Amino acid sequence: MLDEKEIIEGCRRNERKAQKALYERYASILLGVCIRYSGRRDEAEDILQDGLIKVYFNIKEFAGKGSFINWMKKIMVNTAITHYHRNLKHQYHQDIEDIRETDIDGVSLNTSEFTREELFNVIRDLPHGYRLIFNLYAIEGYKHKEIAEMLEIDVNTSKSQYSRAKALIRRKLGTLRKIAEKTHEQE
Amino acid sequence: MSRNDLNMEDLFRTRMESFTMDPSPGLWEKLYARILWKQFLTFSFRTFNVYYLAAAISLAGIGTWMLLGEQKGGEQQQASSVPVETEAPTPSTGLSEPGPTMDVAKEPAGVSSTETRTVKKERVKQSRTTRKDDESVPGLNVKPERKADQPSGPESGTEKSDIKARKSAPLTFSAGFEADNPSGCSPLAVRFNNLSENAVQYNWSFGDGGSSVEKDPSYVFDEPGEYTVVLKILGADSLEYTAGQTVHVYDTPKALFEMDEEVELSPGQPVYFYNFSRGADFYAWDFGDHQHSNLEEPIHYYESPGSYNVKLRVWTMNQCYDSLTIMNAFTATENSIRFPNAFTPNMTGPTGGYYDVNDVHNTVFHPVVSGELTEYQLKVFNRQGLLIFESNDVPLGWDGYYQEKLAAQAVYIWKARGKFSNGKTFVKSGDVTLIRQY
Repeated sequence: MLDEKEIIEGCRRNERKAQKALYERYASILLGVCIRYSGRRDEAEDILQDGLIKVYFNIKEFAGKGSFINWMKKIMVNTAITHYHRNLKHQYHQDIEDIRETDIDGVSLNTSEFTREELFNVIRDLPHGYRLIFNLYAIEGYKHKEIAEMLEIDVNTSKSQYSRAKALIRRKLGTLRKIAEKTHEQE
Repeated sequence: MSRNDLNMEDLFRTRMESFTMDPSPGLWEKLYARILWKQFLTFSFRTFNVYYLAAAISLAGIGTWMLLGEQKGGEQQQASSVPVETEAPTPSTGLSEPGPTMDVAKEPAGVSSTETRTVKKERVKQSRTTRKDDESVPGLNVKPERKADQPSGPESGTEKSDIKARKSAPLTFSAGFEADNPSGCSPLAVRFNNLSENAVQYNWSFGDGGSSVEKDPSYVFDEPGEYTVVLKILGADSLEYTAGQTVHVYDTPKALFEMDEEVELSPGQPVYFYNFSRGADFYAWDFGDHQHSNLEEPIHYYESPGSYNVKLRVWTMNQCYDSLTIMNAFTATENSIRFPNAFTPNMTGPTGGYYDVNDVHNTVFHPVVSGELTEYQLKVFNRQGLLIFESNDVPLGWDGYYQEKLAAQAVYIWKARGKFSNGKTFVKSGDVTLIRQY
């Protein structure tokens, strides 16, 4: 098994073995990033492919400073944004009024209650634009200003979309917890 | 950012950062095919082989052929662009003119009128000479400076004498104006005070597409932005003068928020406020219980239930302001009982009438209650007035069966009465349609 350094060196020399090793080692992590942005497996795999092509052909530009996986994750995020822009016209634009219907009362979240899969499902079910901004802000830790530049939107749009995304997530988590409590009672 | 919100972000960040998903089998093969194709397309000596050679030769052939064709086209283009290029410097001298004029014109006319005049004269002379030059070049000369600074009329033959006359005349001509509030929040209404001297005709353009020919117009700028207001006047000497001023229209914020209205207010129960305001920099919340906050998205704890007027005020850096008050928040949904107007009973047999509130199948006719009931009675009749169903218990609804038989698809009449825990009573009636699902 090649280690990270050997993989990078090998990929710089376009060696098939190293390229495959990179794929085998990182594909699942990177697909985990892509799926957070896309929500659909087929689209996420497209993003992964496009992103990895960029990784293989631009690996010379990876300076070796900072972590390799974060560098690749960043490429995935940027590729996902490109995909989002490209597919924007095909997206179903969810009206904000539709989203409010599953309104339940405010709950303070006990963070340890949710599994990773539950959280992923919550992210996956977000409308596309919300998902993008929530991922960028909450998980990747970008600032609203940076997000606004990346997505070519207004800073305030980013803020208000994030706020809405958060409200929606909070409600979804609340529903999740209620269902969990109910099944617990039945047992 | 409040404590709980941070928790949510931390929650997602810690859990989702290491989220993985295994790619479908065969993805690597697809990817590798793309890599090979792309490598083939990117030329490299290390991977050079006979395919490259063939491709390179054919590409080179096509390339040369296309290049030759393009060069011919390019030459033609160049030839046609020559006169345009020679013209280019001319407009730039003209365009540099309005700058100083505008600045001068901003000052009150009384102070600077002589200065204005000299500048104007020079400019007019200058633009005249440039124009003469231009006239020697035939064809496509649309001069920006002709519009901006010069008489637009066709009286070019008489202009020379006009200038002479103006030199000797004691009259002064100038364009100038004042705006009563040159900056403010959108929509911004501005009144312009005309300070032009010896003008016979006014032509305003407000920089956002609007225009006017009044002497002292008022104008409303709807959209935020920076607008250059230009006043062109036609002097009594039939020359044109311009003055300009910038109007700043700032973005007016929009206050907008929602909160969890269905929360039962009690000490220790957080109430989330969702701030959907746009364009605001500062926030001030008044929760209606003499408590305030300046957070963007506060969480508030009310001491006791009740109805509160929640007010959000928002500002921008430029002191533009908006506010929104939600009156009697938290009371809208308290103590209500509502009935649906249709249901679809279970076709395979009676269900007993007990239901799950979250069940989407709508097989039982039952009310949706918020608040607590101490008394309750529901009666359902058919159209002949026969009592078909009766319940004294909210969790027991009508499953659509009468004497163990599915009732006919028809409209039924219901009547409900009861009392809420706060002593409020209600009597309601209506109809419900039973729909059979086949």
